[in-house]
Amino acid sequence: MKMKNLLYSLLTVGFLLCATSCMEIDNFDAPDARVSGRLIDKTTGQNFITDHGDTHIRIWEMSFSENPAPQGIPVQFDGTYNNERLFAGTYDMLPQNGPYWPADTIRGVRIGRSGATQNFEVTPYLHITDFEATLEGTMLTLSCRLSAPFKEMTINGVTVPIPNVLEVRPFLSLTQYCGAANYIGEYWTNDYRVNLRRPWDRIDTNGDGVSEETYKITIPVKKGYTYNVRMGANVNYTDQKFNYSEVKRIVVPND
Amino acid sequence: MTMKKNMNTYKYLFLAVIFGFIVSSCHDLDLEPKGIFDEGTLFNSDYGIRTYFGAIYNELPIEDLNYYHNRGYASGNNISNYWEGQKNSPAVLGGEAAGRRDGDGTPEYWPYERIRRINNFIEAIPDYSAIHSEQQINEYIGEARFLRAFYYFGMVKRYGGIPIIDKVQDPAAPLEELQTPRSTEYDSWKFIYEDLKFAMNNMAEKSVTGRANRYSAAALMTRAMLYAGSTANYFETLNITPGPAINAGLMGMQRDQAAEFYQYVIEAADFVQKGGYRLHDGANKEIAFTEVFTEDLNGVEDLFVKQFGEFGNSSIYNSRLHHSWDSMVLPLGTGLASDVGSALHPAWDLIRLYQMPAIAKENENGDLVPVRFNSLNDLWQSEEMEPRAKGTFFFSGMTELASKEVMDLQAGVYRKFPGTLADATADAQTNAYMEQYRIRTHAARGQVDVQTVDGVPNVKINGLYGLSLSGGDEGRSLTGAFIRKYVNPAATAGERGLYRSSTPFKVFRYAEVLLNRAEALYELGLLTGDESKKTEAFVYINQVRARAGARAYTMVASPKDVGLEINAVYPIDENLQFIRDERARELAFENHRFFDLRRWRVLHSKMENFYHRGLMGYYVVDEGKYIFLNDREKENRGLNYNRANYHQQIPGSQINRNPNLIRNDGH
Repeated sequence: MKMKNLLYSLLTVGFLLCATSCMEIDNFDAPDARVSGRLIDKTTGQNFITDHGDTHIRIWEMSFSENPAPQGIPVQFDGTYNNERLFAGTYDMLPQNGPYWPADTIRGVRIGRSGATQNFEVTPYLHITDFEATLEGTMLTLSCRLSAPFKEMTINGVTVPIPNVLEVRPFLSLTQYCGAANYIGEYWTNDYRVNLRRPWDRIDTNGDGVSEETYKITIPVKKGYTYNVRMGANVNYTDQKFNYSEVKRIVVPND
Repeated sequence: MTMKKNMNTYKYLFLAVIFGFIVSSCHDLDLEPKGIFDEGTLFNSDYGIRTYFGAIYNELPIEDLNYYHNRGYASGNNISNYWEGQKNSPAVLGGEAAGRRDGDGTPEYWPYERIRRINNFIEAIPDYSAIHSEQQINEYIGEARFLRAFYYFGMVKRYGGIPIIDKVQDPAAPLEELQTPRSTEYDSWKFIYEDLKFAMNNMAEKSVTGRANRYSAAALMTRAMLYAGSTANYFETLNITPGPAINAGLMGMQRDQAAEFYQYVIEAADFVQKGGYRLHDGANKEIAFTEVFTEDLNGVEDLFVKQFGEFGNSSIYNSRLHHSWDSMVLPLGTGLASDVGSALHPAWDLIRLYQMPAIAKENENGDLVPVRFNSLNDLWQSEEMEPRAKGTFFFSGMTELASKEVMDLQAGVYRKFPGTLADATADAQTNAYMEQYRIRTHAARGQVDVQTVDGVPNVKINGLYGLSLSGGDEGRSLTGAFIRKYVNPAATAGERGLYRSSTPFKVFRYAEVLLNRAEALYELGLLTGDESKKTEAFVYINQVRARAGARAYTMVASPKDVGLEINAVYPIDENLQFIRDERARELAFENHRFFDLRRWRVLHSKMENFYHRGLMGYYVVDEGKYIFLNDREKENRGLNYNRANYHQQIPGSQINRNPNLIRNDGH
């Protein structure tokens, strides 16, 4: 009888111990520090022309570790970025992956709950200029020229030339967003692009900073649709993302 | 009273004796477990050392017939569904074949626990000099260093510079000592070089099939140093924004470092040649080429072979003792595959490289039109087709030897074909021209659809083994041809199911050494402006072609730049492209192509929205003739390759353990 009671007491105590460990609440706060800002085209002062997620602001939480895993804040269609779910701390920040000359890391940015604003200035590899979109029946002709703000840059004491230009492509979309993150897949083919793959000197032969040729692409479109179109060109840097023209709206009439 | 005292005394005496036993037996608890061999048992005999090495050989990073592209090597730690390895082969992302594919492949590979066992051996074996002769000990150390170099090669070709650990680390050492940082990529390749050099000079001259000798080490040297040379030669063409890894030399090398590695390739290839290795050949070149993969050619063309287990009566499911090659490349049928069937389909991008009759010619207007054949068999029965191609593929009408089945393949019919090749080629599954004239079928497996077409009765639409629009991507042909290489021509019916193939995998063979040598020579000729090296390269290329039954190639004196054809980011001269194409022809489906395109840094350009095409045979009803077209395979799977993976990212789990590891740039 005594043994039985002892056994039951032990079991009860054991069970209670287990039960209490079930009721521990995760009492850590959710991260809620905020940072936002603009990615600015240094040569124009306007927001950088890009599409959702084509480029990122890469951040390292240096107050957490000396060799932290990097995180990325995607830059949106309008060239701004925003993240409200970071842990408060001191960060290094760097615009990355985008079609611009390498930028400098900004160190020691304090991001706290009250929010921080950090703008970045970058120089694009290319501008798409003289963008025209002409509709004839159901054939749309897009044309543009390329211009390079700089054909070389000195980074850390080394002068590097602009990487070779690769292609010019059209981007069509049925929503207000248009670019490499939002485009109608049928137009992404070798038939509808200009394949350049050559150094800038052979595109801008007279050295005035603008391509000699105007690049034309003609594509079929469908009646009754309204398209947002733009053209993009890329160079052979790490991510080969596109520099874009502005977006133009094309309404294709139903008859 | 005395009785109680006596009882108590006895009790205490009893307890004291028991206690005494316990204390004295504490010493005897320090025993070795009886089921495990310790170092002393293993290292003091040749048999024991072979047992020790056996486990190390077993886990070598060999991309064999069980290699699963995005799950990695079939190893003890990586279980389940090896049978899918064939259809998820790197051949898919290399453009050799259509199949399944998840991601860019090559997951985390960080085998330091295996390297530790090798380091343990190298440090301990000299203590056994009383039992083994000095020459024998050097042979063993040479073999251990060959194995170590093989493991490091698996890492360096993925990550670039890695921590070099060549001593046994003491687990009780302070953490800072154990957290070894990455060495530079150059030093990592040189480490592999030094290990292989020692192996070449010290390993045995000959070995049994399945074990390595000094020429296996030399063959690995040619492969590894060629990889290093290509990385040094082409890394800068990617223009990756330098970050901490590139600036510290951990990732990437410069072009002026390439020549040294190409030279190592040439020296090691010469070493293999002096060892008496040669290309296997025979009167019937088509059969001789298949024998390269199904016969034991130890001492002839085989430099290192990975063997699989004996076939028994039952398949050992999920075992890497066997593979599933026959079952996964032959169609389902009597005497053919008994499970799954045909899941890896040869692609036109590879087939078109071989010497074969033209399937298109210019008409009087200068447009390309399909050539008319009297029969689909005319393609491979022509003198123009190189025997090696017939040994690599089954084309429509060829007979599979073990089953005697004729590989009956037809993609459909055209009622008429009044147009040009361009009319019937699309960056899509169909177009207006095809809709107007082409007839295909949804016939089920085993069915041959016969229809009346434009009044002509009994027109056969498809072949027994393909193609049909139904049936998914397994079981029958998707591309108009099957893989023949490595298929067992003497298989019994039971040996063509999952896990029932044991054809040994030729890890290194002399043909690859010749191709490595030719590429290194030509690249060195380009770097140094030495024309004689370029000419010498084609001596070896033409040896490979002579065995293949293909015409010799004459080097072009002023080669043009063909890089633009594959959107390469650097110019490629047409002679060099021929050498690269010869590699593709000779080493098809041996899991080289993906790694070759990767080390040349052209994989991302070639694999941009890439769709596999086939060699589709059609019957043209109103002409009574056959044509071949290169339609996209019906599953319409597009591929891309993320160029960031030319240097994969260091595994996050390893950085958590060792924060001194600097991440690779470009991700």
